[in-house]
Amino acid sequence: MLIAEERKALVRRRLDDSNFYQFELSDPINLVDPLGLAADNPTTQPATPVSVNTRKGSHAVPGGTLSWALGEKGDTAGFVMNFTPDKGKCACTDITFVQVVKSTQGTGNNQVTTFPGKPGDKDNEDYYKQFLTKDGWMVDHLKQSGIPFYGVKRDHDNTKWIDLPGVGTLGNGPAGVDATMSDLPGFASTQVRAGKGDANATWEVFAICISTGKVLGGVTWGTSVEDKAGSPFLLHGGGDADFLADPTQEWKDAVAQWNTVANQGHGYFPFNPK
Amino acid sequence: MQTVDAYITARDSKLNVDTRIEAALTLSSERKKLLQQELFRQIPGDLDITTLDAVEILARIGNSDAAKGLEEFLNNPSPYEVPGQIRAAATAAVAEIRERA
Repeated sequence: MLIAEERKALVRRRLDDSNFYQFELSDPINLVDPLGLAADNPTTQPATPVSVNTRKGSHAVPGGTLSWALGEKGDTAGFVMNFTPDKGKCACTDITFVQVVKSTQGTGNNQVTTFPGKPGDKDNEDYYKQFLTKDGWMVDHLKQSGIPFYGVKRDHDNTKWIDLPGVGTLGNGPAGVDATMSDLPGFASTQVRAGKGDANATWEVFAICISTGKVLGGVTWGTSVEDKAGSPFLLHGGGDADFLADPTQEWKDAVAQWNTVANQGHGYFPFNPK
Repeated sequence: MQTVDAYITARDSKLNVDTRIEAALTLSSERKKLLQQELFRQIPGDLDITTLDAVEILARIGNSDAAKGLEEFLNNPSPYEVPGQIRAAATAAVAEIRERA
């Protein structure tokens, strides 16, 4: 396994790569550590969805800088995010991300919420439905993990948070360690361009401090596929203008719903943003 | 840890993944191959934490067959909506196995 410094060096050597997402896919070890890519090359993205494109953004936030990039390959999106702490200005030792998602298919009265896993699996849907808000948002988490944070896990003594290989790294302000996350979502192939309605998914992700509950800033991004043969996989948001300084109501509602489930005593970690 | 105990530990999906990895790394290459076969039975599985743990262990002990299997999982159009965390972990796992080979 590459050590952290080697990973960072590999990433830095490729910062000038014009196609960030192609690089990310071909060097997946570095997926979780895009470093200052977006910060070095901030761009304002068009408001309309585009295909075969890369979107980036960066923003100064309390205690550091948030940077991100969004791209695609085939019917899979790639989103990476980085919180770089300013040494001496960020006291948090456990920085990670909380991401919420709304995924639907169809429009109007025919619109339904879709979930990770096998479409139509009732047990699977029942599991996820307990986390849904009335508006169809939920904390984006791995089923049965009990963890609302994106990109970290518990160590084997269950005493501290650690990196989740390939998915994220735990940030540490005083140590100057970046928090990173990587998401590669895609729709089920049987659900798109198959006469089942347009597919849409929107995410809102915020960097947070686990121990204090402080929310540091976030961004919204999304994907969609029109229900038509040959329709492209589209990206939405993820640009510089899609920065979110404060948690949105849907993000707060989804976290509150997560806590409702966590408080039922399943061993799930609650998160109380402040 | 004795090999048999380590094998039992490594395949126990109820245990913490890092405990399983620690045990898996002590196994002989033959046992690792057996474990690899067992782990692939959990992919895609329920596309939950068990799946992710299997991917994470394969990243550490898998051989070129594991890399091929994970690539197939990643590249084929999937009838499932594969969670982004699992796809990210599997992508990184393939790279880690290739790096080790």
